[in-house]
Amino acid sequence: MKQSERFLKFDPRTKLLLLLELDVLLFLGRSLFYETAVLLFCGIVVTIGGKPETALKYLAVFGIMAAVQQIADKRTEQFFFFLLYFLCVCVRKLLPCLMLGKWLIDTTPVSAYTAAMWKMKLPRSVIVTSSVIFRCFPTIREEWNAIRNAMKLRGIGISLRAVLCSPLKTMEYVFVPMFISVLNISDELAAAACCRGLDDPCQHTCMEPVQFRICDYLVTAAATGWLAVMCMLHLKGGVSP
Amino acid sequence: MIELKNVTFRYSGQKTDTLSDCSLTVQDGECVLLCGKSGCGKTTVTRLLNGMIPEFYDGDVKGTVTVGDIDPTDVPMYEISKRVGTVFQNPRTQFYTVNTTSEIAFGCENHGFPPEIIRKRVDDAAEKLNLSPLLDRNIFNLSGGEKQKIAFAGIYVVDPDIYILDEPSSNLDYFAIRELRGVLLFLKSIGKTIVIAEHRVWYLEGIADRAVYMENGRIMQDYTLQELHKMTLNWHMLTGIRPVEPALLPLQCHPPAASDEQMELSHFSLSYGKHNVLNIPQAVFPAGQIFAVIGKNGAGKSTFVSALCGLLKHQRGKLMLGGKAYGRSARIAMSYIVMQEVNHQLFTDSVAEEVLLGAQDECGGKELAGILEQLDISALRDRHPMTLSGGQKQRVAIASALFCKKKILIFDEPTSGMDFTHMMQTAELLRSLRSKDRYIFVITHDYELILSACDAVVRIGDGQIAEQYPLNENNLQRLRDFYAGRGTD
Repeated sequence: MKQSERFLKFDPRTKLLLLLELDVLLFLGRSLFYETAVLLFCGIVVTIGGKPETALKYLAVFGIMAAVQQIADKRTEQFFFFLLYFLCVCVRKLLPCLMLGKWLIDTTPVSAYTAAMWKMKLPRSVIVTSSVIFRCFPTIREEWNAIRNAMKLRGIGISLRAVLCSPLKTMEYVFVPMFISVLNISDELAAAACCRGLDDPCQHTCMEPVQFRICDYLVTAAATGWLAVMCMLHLKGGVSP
Repeated sequence: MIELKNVTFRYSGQKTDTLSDCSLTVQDGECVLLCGKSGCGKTTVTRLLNGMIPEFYDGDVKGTVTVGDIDPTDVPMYEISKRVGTVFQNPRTQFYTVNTTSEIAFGCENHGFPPEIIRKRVDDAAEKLNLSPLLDRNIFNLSGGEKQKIAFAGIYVVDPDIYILDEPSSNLDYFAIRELRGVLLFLKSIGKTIVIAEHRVWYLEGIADRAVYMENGRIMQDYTLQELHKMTLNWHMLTGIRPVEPALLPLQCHPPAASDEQMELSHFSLSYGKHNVLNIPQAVFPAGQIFAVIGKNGAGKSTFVSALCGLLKHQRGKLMLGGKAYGRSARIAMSYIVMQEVNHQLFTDSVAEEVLLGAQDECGGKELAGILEQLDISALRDRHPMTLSGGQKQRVAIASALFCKKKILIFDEPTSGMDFTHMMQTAELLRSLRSKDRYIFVITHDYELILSACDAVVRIGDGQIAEQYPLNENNLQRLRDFYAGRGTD
């Protein structure tokens, strides 16, 4: 988890705020040009924030989605293309959320996250629950690998055929063991963390100082300003970009 | 000082008391071992002391509990956590962060220590507990023993007077347990009070001042470790306590079922890039025997068995059964792994359905009854698998493997965290699975399980088969040498 010095370290609060604002921003405009601008903004932030490969990957997905949508757009009277069009739009609208979310999880130590949450003076229950969820993501990845092996050995592997022929059954086979183990793990995690004082109401500290730096002010100002302008435009009933 | 006075406890929603009329006093600086079979109530005692009761497990407490100057059933957990530190059995779920250094600092951060002091304490803990090389690493890449050391460091920095340990050795191998012993010796030398709930006792010699034996929620008797030493095998079966001197267990010399079929590996290998993770030029495993797969952490035991099952994509070389070569997908269809985390392999909502799942023919109702009978789970036929105990779940998983007529059976640490009695039952079950067209491999650290269930030993070292030998009186010393750390790698 050692982060190289070449990249900027953002405050977890900045990351959370961006996650929220950019998602809203994406829904406030409709044109492809506008969406590209939002995605590019996310991409730039994620790149200077230390995850250029994540940014590239998601921008590429966005490009493909946009291209597929352009092709499908002209043939929407056919059901297949309509479905394709619909899928592309859905996935595209989620992309900023996914990109920033992955960046948040990959670059934020849980301790910095909790310290930031305590600084925001959120209620204790929110902090404990959300940080357990936060901590669960890397675990889910490990669980997923084990479950996939178990499924293969039972002859209920996740092949394309299985997904298409019996999607519900296949989903059940994945989710039943997944939910059970994630539930167990999150229970044990929460208990272990409380045995170490996670619920102490005092001001939590962090070995790595959590504070707003210039870069935090700059990007939050940019995103918030943009959001404000968009809201004004919408309230005035102006043409949506 | 810790004091339980006439404590009776019942978890909410249960019909019987988990603890009845327990009284126990632990002096400052004393180390007390709580022992007894699974379900005897020792874990519940630890939960009363660290405040998990009533915060996480609700129930009805009668009697008084005192830890130092507080009543842990009546004080918020963060107050208790300044006085009492807890290490749990599952290293997978007791870490809150991903980085070792910030994990050690976590407790101090929660209590709002200033960053300079936290840094000083983390460095101090790293020095005292001998773990400087582990600092600033990803926790997911550490071995179980290393994780457990980090867990101790995370408590040490907060400097509580009392350490509560709930089966800290159950996921560790022999070598890691010896390191755990070192940590405990250090804690004892600086005057910490230690309460350990545990089945294994050998590593506590010279550390535990006395063993408190519990049965059905009652505290029965105090023993000294010397007294535990003198106990008979029969007594271990009755109490579930593992022998103090593991080497004294008699070898179960059951002649394996004779078979002329065998598994042959040739040029069986796997590499990621230039890194060779598995390399077995030639090997033969006769059917009908149980092979103990042993080796140090990271030696490649899991890679070896996963490759046998055909689960690893880039594996090269041939595997033949009875002279016929089988490819990867054919092997997946004929193999089964009973995982350590058995929850990963239970998919449906009844035991019967679970066993039938994935079977080729749907007709075998009679066969199903037979298999359930063989594994002693007939009565559980309609239960939801997730409501079963760990051992029962394991049996359901085995039943589905038998029903699908799997030829290659792998067990991954089937007895970790089991008491002596349950371990012996599992050993017996494993032996009953031997048949002349079945290949059974057991990955295990459990010396007692190897002696009571296995016919041969395969030691993996550095991705190769370092040695392979039948388990008999003559070869016993080789196994002991491995456990004593005298293995030649």
